[in-house]
This record gives sequence, C-alpha cells and structure tokens, in this order.
Amino acid sequence: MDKRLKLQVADYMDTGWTYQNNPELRAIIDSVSDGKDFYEALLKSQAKLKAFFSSKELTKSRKNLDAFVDNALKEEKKRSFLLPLNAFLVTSCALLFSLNLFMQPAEVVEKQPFFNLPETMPQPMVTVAESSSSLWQLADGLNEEMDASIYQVMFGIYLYNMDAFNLSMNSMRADKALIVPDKAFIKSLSQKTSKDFVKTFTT
Amino acid sequence: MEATNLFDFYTLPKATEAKDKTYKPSKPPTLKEALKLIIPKLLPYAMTLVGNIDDAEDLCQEALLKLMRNEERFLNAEYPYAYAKKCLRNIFIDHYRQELRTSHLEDINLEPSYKHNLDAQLEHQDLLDCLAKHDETDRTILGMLGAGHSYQDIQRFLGGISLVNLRVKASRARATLADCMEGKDG
Repeated sequence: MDKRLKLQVADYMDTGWTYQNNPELRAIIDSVSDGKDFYEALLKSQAKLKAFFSSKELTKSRKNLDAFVDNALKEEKKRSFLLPLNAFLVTSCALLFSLNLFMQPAEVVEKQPFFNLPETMPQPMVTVAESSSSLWQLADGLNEEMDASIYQVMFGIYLYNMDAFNLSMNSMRADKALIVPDKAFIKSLSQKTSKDFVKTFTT
Repeated sequence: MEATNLFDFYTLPKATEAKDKTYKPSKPPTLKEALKLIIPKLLPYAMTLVGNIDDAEDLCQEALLKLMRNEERFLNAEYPYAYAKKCLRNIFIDHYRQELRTSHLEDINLEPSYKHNLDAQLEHQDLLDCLAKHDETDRTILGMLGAGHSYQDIQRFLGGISLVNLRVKASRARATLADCMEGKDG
C-alpha cells in the first residue's frame, strides 16, 4: 500500500468513516493486498492511543490537578486577605513604638534632672563688728578660709555692707551687723581691682 | 492562518455549548477557569514528554504554578494554550538539563523517557516505542487526539499552525504510527 493511499485511508477514518459504513473507503482498502492489514493496524493504534491517553489514571490525574489549582488559589486568596491585616498590624506596632520613643526622654528628664538644687540654700555669714576691730582684722581672719586675697575679702565685705560704713572703708559703724558674702562672690572679684580699690582708702 | 484570539480561549467545551444555546462567551475567564481549561490539554502533552502519569502530573503542577505566577502574561497571551505548553516544555527541558548536566540541548532531542515503567506502561510499551519515533509535534497531536481533543483545541495548543496543515500532519502521524504498530506486531 503506497503512502498516498495510506494517508487517504487515515484521512477518511478521521472523518468518522469505517470499512463497514463507507463504500469508498472499503474500495480503497480492498484495492490493495495489504490494505486490510493497514486498516486494522490503524484501528488498533487509534484504540491504543485512546486507551493510553484517556485512561482512568489520566482522569484521576486531571482531577488531582483541578484540586491542586483550587488549593493553590485558595491559599493565595488567604494570603491576599492576610496581607493588609499584617500590614495594618506592623504599621500600628511601628506607630506605637515611635510614640513610645518620643515619650521616653520626657520621663528621663523628670527622673534624672541635670542638677539638683539643695533644699536649703547656704546663707551668708552674719557677723557683728566690734568697735575695736577694723575691716582689715576681719578680712585677715577670713581670707584663708575664703581662699582669696585680703583685698578681695575687704572689697567684698564693703560692697555687701555699704550702709555699715561712713563713706570710707576705714570708718566702720559699730551698730551695724556685717554680712560676710559667700566664697564664690569673693573669688569672683578681680584681685587687682580689689587691691586698687582698698589702696584708695589707705593712701 | 488566524491567530487564536482571546475569544476562542474563553469558549467552553462543545457539550456545554450544545446544552446551553443562550451561552455567549463575553466575560474573560478568571485565572482558575483558565487553568482548569488548560489542564486537560497539558496532561496528554506532558505524557508524551515524560511517558508516565506520575511525572506528567508533577510536570503539570510545576507548569500550573508558573502560570499562576505569570497570570497577566498567561491570560493576555495571543495563544494562551501555546503559552502554557511552552511553560511546561521549558520546565521539562530544565529538568532534563539538570539530569544530564553537561549535555548540550541539541543532544537531548526531547524524546520521552520511559524509565519508570509501570504495569500500564508495559502494556502500552509498543505504543510508547512507536511514539518515540515521531517528532515532538506529531507526538503532541497524537496524544491530544487520543485524549479526545478537537483539531481546534490542538491548533490553539500548538500555536502557529493552520487547521489544514494540522489535519495533514495528523493523518501522516496516524499512518506512520499504524505502520510502526503493524511492524511491531507482525
């Protein structure tokens, strides 16, 4: 059987014709000696193809794959539902965290101030000048304690108690109590200025 | 030759159309619908590549996952069936490459491997041997015809082939398969 006839037979069979129901096909097959053999082989191969590619296992596999698609897309849907929820949770956590960061320093400042003010402030020393004592004598006893020069102490006491002197540094009033300034004030006075000022009263 | 447009892709199986005469394919399918349309076509093709159902199913699963990842490209492809087929074929080639490691692609020849011979395969061994003698397109045509698909479906699946050309190819493939089977049996 030549190729052309074989193709013709295959083509006719493809349209649904068989040896029994179509005289034209029957004529072609009967025209050659091996026509019937080829026709039977064609039928057999078609049946085998159908059996192999339309088997129960294949149908089962198809169902498995359908279920696989259903599951995969269901999971995707779940994920797509959870995604905005997760995003919301993460955002709110971040917001809370950042707010907490802003709140924390205020608490720290309250708990740990940069400096502590003592409850009782140091009071300036008050002394009553005796009639016999002079400013020099008074300052001489204090300069070591104040860690300053005698001129600084004298100048400091004078500045603090202007009303306790009769214009001059040398004439101290006996009825007035003298307030001795604190060490920081005394130390803040310039040594040279203090000395020059004191000297103006001695010369 | 007309390209397989999206409208064709949405067409339901003939049986459904026959039952529902008012059916008009207007809405594009969802990914799920499209995948379920593609599965019956992919499975016989995968069978012609790997030769056994288990591997074919695995191959199809991977291809389906790939199609899900590339949803936009798949649904908007000019030939969605052919796109799916190409995905599956590429995955198969990747697997084959992994197995051979050093082999060149041309040496692969994409012949089906029948390593995992099951009882069912032994029964159909002569058919598988004869199928292996055909080229990939002929194997696909024979496989899909065997699975009961129409020429239109096969055309969409192969892509880039006219209906007339497809019918001629199918007749030739059938004739050579019958020749091969006859030789084996005789």
